[in-house]
Amino acid sequence: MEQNNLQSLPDEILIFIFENLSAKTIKACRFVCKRWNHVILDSKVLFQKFKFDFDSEKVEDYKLNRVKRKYSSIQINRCGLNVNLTDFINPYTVHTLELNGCTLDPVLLAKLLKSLTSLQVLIAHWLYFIEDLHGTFVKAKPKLRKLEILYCYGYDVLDLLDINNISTLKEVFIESGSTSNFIKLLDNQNELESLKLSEWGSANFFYFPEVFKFKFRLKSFTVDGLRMYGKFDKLFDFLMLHKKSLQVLKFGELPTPSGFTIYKFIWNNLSIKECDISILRIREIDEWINDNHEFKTDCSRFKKRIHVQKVSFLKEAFVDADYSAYKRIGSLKQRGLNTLRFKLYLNNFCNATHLDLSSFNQNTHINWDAVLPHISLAMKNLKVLRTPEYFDQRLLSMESIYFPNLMELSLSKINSELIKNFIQKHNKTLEKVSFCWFEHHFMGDVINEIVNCNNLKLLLMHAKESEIFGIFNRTDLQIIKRTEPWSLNIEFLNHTPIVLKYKFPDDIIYWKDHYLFLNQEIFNKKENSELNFWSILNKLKNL
Amino acid sequence: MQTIKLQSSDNEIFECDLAVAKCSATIRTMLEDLGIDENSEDEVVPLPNVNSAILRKVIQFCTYHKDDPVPSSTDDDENKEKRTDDITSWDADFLKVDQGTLFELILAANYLDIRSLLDVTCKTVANMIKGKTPDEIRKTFNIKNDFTPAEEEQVRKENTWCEEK
Repeated sequence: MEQNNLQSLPDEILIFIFENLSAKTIKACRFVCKRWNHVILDSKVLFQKFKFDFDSEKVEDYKLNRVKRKYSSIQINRCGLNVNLTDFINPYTVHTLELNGCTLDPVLLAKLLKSLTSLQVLIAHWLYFIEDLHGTFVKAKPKLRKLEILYCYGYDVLDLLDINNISTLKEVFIESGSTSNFIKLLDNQNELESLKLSEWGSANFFYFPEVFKFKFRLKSFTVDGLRMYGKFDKLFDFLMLHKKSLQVLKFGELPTPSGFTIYKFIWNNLSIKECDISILRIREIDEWINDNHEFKTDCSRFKKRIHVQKVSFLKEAFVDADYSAYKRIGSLKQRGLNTLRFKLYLNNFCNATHLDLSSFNQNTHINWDAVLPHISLAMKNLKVLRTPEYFDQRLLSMESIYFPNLMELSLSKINSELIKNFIQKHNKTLEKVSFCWFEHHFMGDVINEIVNCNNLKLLLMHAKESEIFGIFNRTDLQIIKRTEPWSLNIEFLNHTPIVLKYKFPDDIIYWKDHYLFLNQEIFNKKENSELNFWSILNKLKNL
Repeated sequence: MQTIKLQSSDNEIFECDLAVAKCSATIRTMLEDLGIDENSEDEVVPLPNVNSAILRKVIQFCTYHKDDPVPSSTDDDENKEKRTDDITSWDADFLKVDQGTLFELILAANYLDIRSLLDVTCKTVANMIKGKTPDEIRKTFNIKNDFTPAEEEQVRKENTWCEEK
């Protein structure tokens, strides 16, 4: 086995190590290797140890004391650009300009770009312009006759450029601004190979007829967040035009339907080398269900064919009792993860028996009404289901949701009376039901449904102090009310009526975090294998 | 004293105090949230990312530190300069290991979510970096310089522009 070295540690740990260092040492660390340099530049925490500013005296010194340098690549990070770069660089040699998070005067930027006549790569991440000054005021627009790669986030840099004179692009991504400018730019291109549409770009891109007359043929096409509602004809037409050249296709964060439609299209029509589809929400769920058979068989085919990123933690989270994955979700949560992306990777949890969603909170944006049928369809072996706290249980009453082998249901609270439909549907298999608390008015019916489960062996009710157990309608039993904290009064109607006033002993109920638990210990012993809810009550009676 | 069984990646089983095991937030979460029954005799917690040599060290560390007060979570202050000279002599002795073991300990501390161990191991590595030139750092950790002279010049230039606060 290869010895672990420092380079085998993940970036987050490197950052953690660097956090212990002074700014001076961090500067030295940047020279160690490319990876260290990138880790340091990408870390917000480490970055705060520095102050970057072109206006600082140091830059003035630099400007005055040195001859113009022949840089080929300039990167300007998180600063204002109020000095004229051309005073101390040789603009003819610069072929790459990268601006990251800068607040700029557009006139100065235009002037700079104009001087960079050899520029091949322009990358502008989160560029902001000084208030009330827009590119439209720039009269002499830079031509950039050699530009091959253009990436713009945040502000429409196209406003600043003479787009009619740019025709050499190979790769382009523009995040916002005027779509017609963007289309005009693309219309001039002959050699474009890679196109990336942002969520903004995809909104009305395909409504421009020019889109189907572009002279270039794409090798790579990426759509970040497709804003298209159900109609993919134009997208598919566009893809077919590039069918011969297309090798890489990526759809990120599809917020709308239908991943499956796109999947099928790709499968049937295109032969590409790399495909990445991530699905955030699947609304057209009927199609999934109706195509049940086809879907299942396709699943395994797609798995081989479709490249899926960043799915590993999800995949494992759904696999029975994978503790490490559980921890990973927990730790992601701690690190501020607030969007958990559901990716199409059903195959990996088709055979799972446990589905524990209890760590998902409201911040994990999951469209349950789309995801649940999808889970229900795929996870026929499911035995244990734990739902998240905020989860709307009305969804479980949907007709299509059925787990034929469900034995354990854990709800953090009962928040809908409709949960009883779900319980009724599973009353042959359910053995263990637990919930923490409930809205009182739902109580009677739901509890009634639970105790009518044929094989119920354990009912865990974790009731809050202030709450009172509802009324059981089972004919031979009434739990009437609690008279004091932590005791139950139980009356058996088909026996000589006895009113039990009993304070539960520790081995049956114990306290934890404001919740009251029935201790499952007594069910785990072998001699009690016959034990069910009713014999527990009998046991209580005999105490 | 309640004990718990931990299973390393190479299938060795360690029995240790529950209180010691609970230094690991990961194990704590497993026990609390996944409902592993603490009283059960034959429940074994699998730790597939930690081998037995490292797990032994981790248990040794946690046993020594199990009664330490839990550090308050006021370390959000990003600007606060962290101290690296506050490693106790026990910890320093404990961490007199080869680099491979040290990095494995870091990975294990991260996986098991043992903040105190992660802190002290990372500080130890930071101390190995401190005061060294880039070339000395590369030698210490056997890192290859993959910069071209032009890229190195780029970093130098950027460093000129950035002031230390």
